[in-house]
Amino acid sequence: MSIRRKLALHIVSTINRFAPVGTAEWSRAILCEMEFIEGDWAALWWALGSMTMLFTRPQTHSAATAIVPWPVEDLIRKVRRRTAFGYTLASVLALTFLGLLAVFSTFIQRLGCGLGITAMLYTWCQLFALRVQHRWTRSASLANAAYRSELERQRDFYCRFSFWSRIAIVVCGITLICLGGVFGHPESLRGITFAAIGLIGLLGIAIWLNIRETRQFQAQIDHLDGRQLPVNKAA
Amino acid sequence: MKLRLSEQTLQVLNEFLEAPQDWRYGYDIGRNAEMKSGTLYPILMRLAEHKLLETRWEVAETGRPPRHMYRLTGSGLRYARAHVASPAKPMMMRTSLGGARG
Repeated sequence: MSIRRKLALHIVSTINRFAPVGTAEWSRAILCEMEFIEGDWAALWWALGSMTMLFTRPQTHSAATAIVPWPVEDLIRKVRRRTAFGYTLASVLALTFLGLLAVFSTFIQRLGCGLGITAMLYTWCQLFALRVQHRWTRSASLANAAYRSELERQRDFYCRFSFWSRIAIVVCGITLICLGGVFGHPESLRGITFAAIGLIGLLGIAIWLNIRETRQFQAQIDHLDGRQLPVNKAA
Repeated sequence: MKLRLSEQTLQVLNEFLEAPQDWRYGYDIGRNAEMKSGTLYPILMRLAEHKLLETRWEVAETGRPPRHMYRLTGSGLRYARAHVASPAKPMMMRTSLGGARG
């Protein structure tokens, strides 16, 4: 494959990933169509032209009456990416808490580390439960209801009990670590305060990212139902 | 809902009128109408939103991706025939959600 063709594919794939939810089908159409364009330059021009899809806002969304293979492939890819990233992040954080468990001297701080490790193991279990299932990969497409139910399951990872229970355990753990630090080492109050502020900021970002993911999944579900949607999926 | 009937939209409608019953591919329409994908697809989107265009995915042979295909609906055909014949200048046409006035 030539560099021009690779570049064209890369451009269209990126556009396909970031296209507003109502235009997803159309940007996918452009991507698929490119496979049938013979000339490399023609493919590149085709790809560059498709950049306007990023700025095209649909006025309405029609009901998805039939499921074609691509939404399932997209979902599989997204869940695989999320699972790999989640496992890595949870492992790194669990190891960090384990390391801190050996460093901290007070019982409260060790308890906090224990909660942190528990939260990461809990996240591992949730990721395992929501991993890509074989029945997805076996079939080229899922029935409408099955696809919708998978979207709901994946959405719930980012919200409701599943998400807030993870956050609650992490917050309790970090709070205990900070309190233990304050009680055990009052002289380091300033440093602990800064660390706590930083962690609150990270927590805020995590919550924001999860809400965004929830909305994206919800937008896909709404799109499937053919409801009227706000035009921006990342709103 | 308003459909902007630009010169390019008329070109696309004209292209569909060449073979009204056939399903067409995006690249072929773009090539025949000498239109880039960035111009063509937003027009196709708008036409589909106004129910003037129907779409379907054609599953290709193994190893190739499915292909999106387009054809004018009944109201799309009426609309195209009514407006392509006299494509004087871009104008704003008001259509109903379920179809087009022709």
